[in-house]
Amino acid sequence: MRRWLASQNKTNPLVLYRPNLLALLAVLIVPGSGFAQSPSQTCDLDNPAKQLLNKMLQAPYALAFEGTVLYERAQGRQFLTVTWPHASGTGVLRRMNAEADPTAEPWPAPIDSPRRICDVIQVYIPTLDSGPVVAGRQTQRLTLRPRDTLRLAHRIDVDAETGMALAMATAGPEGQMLERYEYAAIDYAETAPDSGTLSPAPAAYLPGRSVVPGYFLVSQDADNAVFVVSDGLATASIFVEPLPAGAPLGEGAIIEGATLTYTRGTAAARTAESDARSADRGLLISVLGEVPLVTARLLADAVRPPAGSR
Amino acid sequence: MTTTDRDLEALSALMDGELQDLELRRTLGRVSEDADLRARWQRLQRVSETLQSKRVSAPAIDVSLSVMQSLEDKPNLSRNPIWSAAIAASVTIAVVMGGQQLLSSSTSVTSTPLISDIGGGVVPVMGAQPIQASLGAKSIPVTTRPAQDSAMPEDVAAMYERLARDRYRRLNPRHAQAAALSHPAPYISYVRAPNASMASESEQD
Repeated sequence: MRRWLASQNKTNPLVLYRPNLLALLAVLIVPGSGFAQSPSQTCDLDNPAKQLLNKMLQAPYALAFEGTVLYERAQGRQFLTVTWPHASGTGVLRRMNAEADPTAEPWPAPIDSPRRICDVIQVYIPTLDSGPVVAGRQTQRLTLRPRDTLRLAHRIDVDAETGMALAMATAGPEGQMLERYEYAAIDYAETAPDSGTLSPAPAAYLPGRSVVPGYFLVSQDADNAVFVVSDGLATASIFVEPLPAGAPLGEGAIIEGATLTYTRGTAAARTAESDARSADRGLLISVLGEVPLVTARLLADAVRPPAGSR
Repeated sequence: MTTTDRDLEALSALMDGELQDLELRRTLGRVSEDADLRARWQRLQRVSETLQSKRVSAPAIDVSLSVMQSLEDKPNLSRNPIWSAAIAASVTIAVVMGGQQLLSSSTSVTSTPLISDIGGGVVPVMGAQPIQASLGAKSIPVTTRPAQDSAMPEDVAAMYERLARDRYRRLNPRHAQAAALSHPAPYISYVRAPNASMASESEQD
């Protein structure tokens, strides 16, 4: 099912910078950066599967709804109620498992960009089959097969009429199911959401430099050392912090549902001026994402100590 | 595991697009598990770009001094693996994040042919479902290089697994905010977060 793409987008290094170096480094970064397309650029949606995928990605802006959802992974299951959009301007989620009066948890509007579908179909192969009835709605089964080994596969049952993703299962590289959700019931509102009332406003989709093939930097918070990459569908967050003093170098990972957490202790730079204590202080890189292990490792590779490191 | 002449020859052939399917799999697997080989590939890629008069990837900026200054300026607060974000920020703003030039220099993803599936071993992960490490990655957690006079490798592996579990609990809420923006059902990203109310407790049952 999974296929490796013989060649990918060419990627370029990225420099993470001190805020006070922003102006200087921006000059160095932008001219050679991998901003491959403008945000408005579109692509050829030349088959029904791509068209339905595009409709599904746009659905949150065309539909208002309330529903009940079952979410499952190996570690357990949860029953949810969801509302989109709530009067507050966000989506609202309530976990119904154990609380008599569950807390309302907000969730934001997803990104809304014509560019996104183009990125997704560059790294996934969408195919279409007839789907089951989910929450009383006839669906079409959209299968997203990754073109390479750097992402997971998804099977999505999409409402044939509205484009809403009514059920979705994510599979690991071996084909085993990692997590799934499915609507038990859904009610659509008669009118579409007013995008002007969404708060916060939908996030911009401005994918930047390619860090790992198919994964683009979508946000960076240098102050807190958090970097986020996405292929348009899967997301990974990279966190960097000092390695504990005296801690050995190494790596480890766990997986919960579809979310892999990978940590790596790596050596930091060493200069002639550094003393023995500081030389032992490396970096701890943590990658969280709905990605295979190899992708997490490659993302950790992308965070490198500066030149001169051990 | 060390880089062998065979690896280097295969890497060269890969750069030239001359690898057959099986050898391509093996080489990609070796690249996945061998940091030296990955680094060599990146260097070869840069050289190739230069020779072909292509745009050379932006060079890493040497900010070693800044990193070391950050490290030396900060007190060693604790050996506890959980630190303040402020210290993390002071250090990590000075690292270099490089693109993964793991593949040949073709610029179009869609125009390239596909090859057959790539196999790999099933990786046991304690307390969770198994996953398969793509590109032949062998196992996790694994110790890459213990520090001098460090604990035994199994202790290191256990420590990193604990770190991974801790970071999952601590950082997943932040990751959820980012992941929600791309997921077809954005709330699923929040439901995954383990620290949210009673849901987490029920999952421990």
